[in-house]
Amino acid sequence: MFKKIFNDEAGVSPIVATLVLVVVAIAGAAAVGTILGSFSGDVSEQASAGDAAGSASMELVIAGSSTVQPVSELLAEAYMDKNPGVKVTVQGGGSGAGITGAKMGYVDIGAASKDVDTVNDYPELQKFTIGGSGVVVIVNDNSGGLTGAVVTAANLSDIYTAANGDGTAGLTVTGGYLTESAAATNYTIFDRADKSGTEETFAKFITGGAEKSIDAIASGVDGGEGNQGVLEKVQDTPDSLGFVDYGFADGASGVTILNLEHDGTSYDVNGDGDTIILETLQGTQDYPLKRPLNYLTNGNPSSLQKSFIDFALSPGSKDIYHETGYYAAVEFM
Amino acid sequence: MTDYSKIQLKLPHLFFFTCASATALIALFFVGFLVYTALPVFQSQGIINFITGTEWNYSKEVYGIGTFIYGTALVTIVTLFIAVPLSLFTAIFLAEYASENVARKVRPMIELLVGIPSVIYGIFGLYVLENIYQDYVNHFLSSTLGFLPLFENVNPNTGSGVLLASTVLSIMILPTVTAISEDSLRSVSRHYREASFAMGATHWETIRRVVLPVASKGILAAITLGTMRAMGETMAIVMLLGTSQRMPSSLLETGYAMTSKILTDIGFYVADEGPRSALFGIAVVLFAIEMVFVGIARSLGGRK
Amino acid sequence: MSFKLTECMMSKKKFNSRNVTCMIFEGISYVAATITVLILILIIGKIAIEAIPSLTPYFLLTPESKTKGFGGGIANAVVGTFLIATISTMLATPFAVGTAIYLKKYSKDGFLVRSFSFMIDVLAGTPSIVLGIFGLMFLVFYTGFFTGGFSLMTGSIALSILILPVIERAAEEALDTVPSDIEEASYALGANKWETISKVTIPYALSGIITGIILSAGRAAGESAVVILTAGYSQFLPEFKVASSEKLVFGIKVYPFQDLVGTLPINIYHAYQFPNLVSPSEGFAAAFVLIVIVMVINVVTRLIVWRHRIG
Repeated sequence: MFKKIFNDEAGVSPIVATLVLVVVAIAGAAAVGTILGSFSGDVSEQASAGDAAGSASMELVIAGSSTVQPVSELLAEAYMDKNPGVKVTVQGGGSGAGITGAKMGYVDIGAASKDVDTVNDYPELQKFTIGGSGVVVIVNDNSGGLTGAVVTAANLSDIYTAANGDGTAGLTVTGGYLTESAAATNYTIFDRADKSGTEETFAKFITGGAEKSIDAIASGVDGGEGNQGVLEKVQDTPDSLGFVDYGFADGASGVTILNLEHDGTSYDVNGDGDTIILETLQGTQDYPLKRPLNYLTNGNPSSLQKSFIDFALSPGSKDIYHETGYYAAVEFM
Repeated sequence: MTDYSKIQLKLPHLFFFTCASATALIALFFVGFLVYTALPVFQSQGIINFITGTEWNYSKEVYGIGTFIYGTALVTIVTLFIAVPLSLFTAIFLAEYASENVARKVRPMIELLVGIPSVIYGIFGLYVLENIYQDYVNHFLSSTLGFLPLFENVNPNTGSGVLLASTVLSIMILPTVTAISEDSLRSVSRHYREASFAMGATHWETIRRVVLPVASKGILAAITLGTMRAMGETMAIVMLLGTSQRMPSSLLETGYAMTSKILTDIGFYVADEGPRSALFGIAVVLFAIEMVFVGIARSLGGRK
Repeated sequence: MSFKLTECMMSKKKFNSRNVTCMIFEGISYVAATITVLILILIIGKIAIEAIPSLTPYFLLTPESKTKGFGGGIANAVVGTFLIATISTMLATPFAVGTAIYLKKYSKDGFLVRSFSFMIDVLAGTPSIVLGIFGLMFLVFYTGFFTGGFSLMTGSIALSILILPVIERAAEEALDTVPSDIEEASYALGANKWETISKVTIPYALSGIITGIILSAGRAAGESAVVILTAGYSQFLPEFKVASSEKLVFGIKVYPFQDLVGTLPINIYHAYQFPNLVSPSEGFAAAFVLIVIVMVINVVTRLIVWRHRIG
């Protein structure tokens, strides 16, 4: 048999025939499922047409930031459970694709993990902040020299600048602060591989608003894909430092969240990150590394868009944000 | 000839001419659109600065792609170092040593490798080879050859880097180079070989001094095509080369290639004109390099 | 190889340096070929082993929309992959084959034709990411009114540009294999050019052309960088219906063409992009299914070539 498939002049051998059959069966089954599925879809669409009256289309396409994508995906599933007949498709593409897509009207809801200026830059867009988080600095402190260290924007700027060459920086604790010192133990420094709102927030913070991307000061630093990618890099690398959204670092094994000091205020994000970030989002504290998750619509949302965004903002959806590592807007607005 | 049959003759000609023109228009429009979108960055940076500059900064709007060109070039060269000997000897085996029976079995298997999509090579490299490289290969290379800066293990905690990316890429281009080289080895006339054998040359001497020189153009064309495929690869490179914007001096270091810069950044920046144009600029440079290689391949391959 | 005169030792001489060199290089060639074959077995084998835990009928037959969160099912992507590969091949074929026939049979050799042929080679070598960002800007954003933005149609058009030169080159090669004798015989019998091309040349070259077309369908099925930027991804099975939509041309949205579509390469990419949500095993399972699809396409091609040889 083996001889036959890998033979230039093979006829239809049993194994080939089986392969072909399997594939045809899969395709056939899927096709039948599709046809049946679209029938039942039509029926339920008629049945629940009243639910979102006034909207021409019973379908929503959400595209954009890959940070928001997992949140949107779970929101969409929960929403569709409650509103059978509405189809919500979620896809990535990046914040830029979300903004452009919403601006040009090809996606119903654009997702952006960065702050979008809807006053000056994109007056045609409406912004809905659906959730948020705060970025924290994490270390894998394998050699144990960094216990209790606090960082400031200036410290981080030094560290990332020092890592510009080969992606590593010597780190030590001086007077309670995490400082860069060429003589100290070398730590591997990480950033984000894909461009994101997390990186933009962090870069603006450590450069005092001058830079949008870590590459500008530390181009030689290696990155992980997404928050999870950075977390795993730091977890897998003894003696390393990186930054992720709080929800990813909280409770993760093998990494320590560093406390942060800014404008004379110290933030104990290691011990009490939950409260600090939530209260920052609420406006009662001022942790400098907060970042929003935004939904964007072109002009005023249609009733269906509104219905979905309301769902995303409803208290019942809170767990979805927590599950994916973020805070729901309902907790802080 | 009646008018009717004249029209009958003209009609197919017109139809096929239309097909060809449509294809030409699509190709021209594609190139035109790329250049048009990239134009602002060439105007603001200057073509020379854009290509040789090593700073890439969205806030300062300074775009130089030297680092990425270096990354792409290094990975491609290392890929060729791994892939060319392997595929050349495989081609020699298939064309010279293997019996027809064996060659008939091996060849389809190699062709099967062509069909494996690049994203699969990507996750194969990421989830299978990365650990092996981190724990064994990189470790071994740095401990034995570490005195050379080329094999310094800069990031011992990761297997990603130039060597891993090149290994996977060389698996990807191996079938292309093998198949075309084998074709050109086989197309060498048997009279040459027989003359060589008649002179008392051994089989290897015949291959080395007669067959290879005659087939060299075809083999070079094969290598050029392989180079093009390696340079243009995106998915596997993003996953395996890493994304540190520096010029790696060691093979075990991570870097950044032109294709992966486009993929990692376009989604976030497609809404902003400056950065978008800069990313299209990378595409245009990549396209131009590709054009040079096509020219080389054609002049070697003897296409009209 | 019709002759196998010399193994090195058959020259019946002692171990002189020439014979040893000969043997060494023969050995190297065997080793190289063995490594090449081993690599293939290793890759396919490892992917299959990693895939097995996830490769259940449920996984294959359930669309991702029916499972919680990311991953869990790939039926949507299997159907989407078939759709996008078929449609893009159908779009590219007329242009590609027409162009090949024009270049081979009608055009006169000249500067324009030579540059055109060069351009097709360049197009064939275009990195897929370049085509991807072209698709993203032009097809998704600028002409989204017609294509529906991220959609099956956008993805198919972008992919058809990718495979057009591949089919064109295959068709040219197939046309080259047609012996000029039989064409001349056709002319001698009084057939005109079109009759000769349609009744002699094309039938003779047909199996070669079809081989090229099917192989490009395999290429389209496995392409990821273009698809991720043009077709996007959808957890749902493609639907077949028409609905009204004020955002698109004619006020209607034609499913599945103007709708998002999921494809297997993107499932595999998700295993890299969201490692906390999609397990590597699911990525490998999707990869395995994709390899099987591409392999089947290859086998079908082989059958066509084989039948032609017999017939």
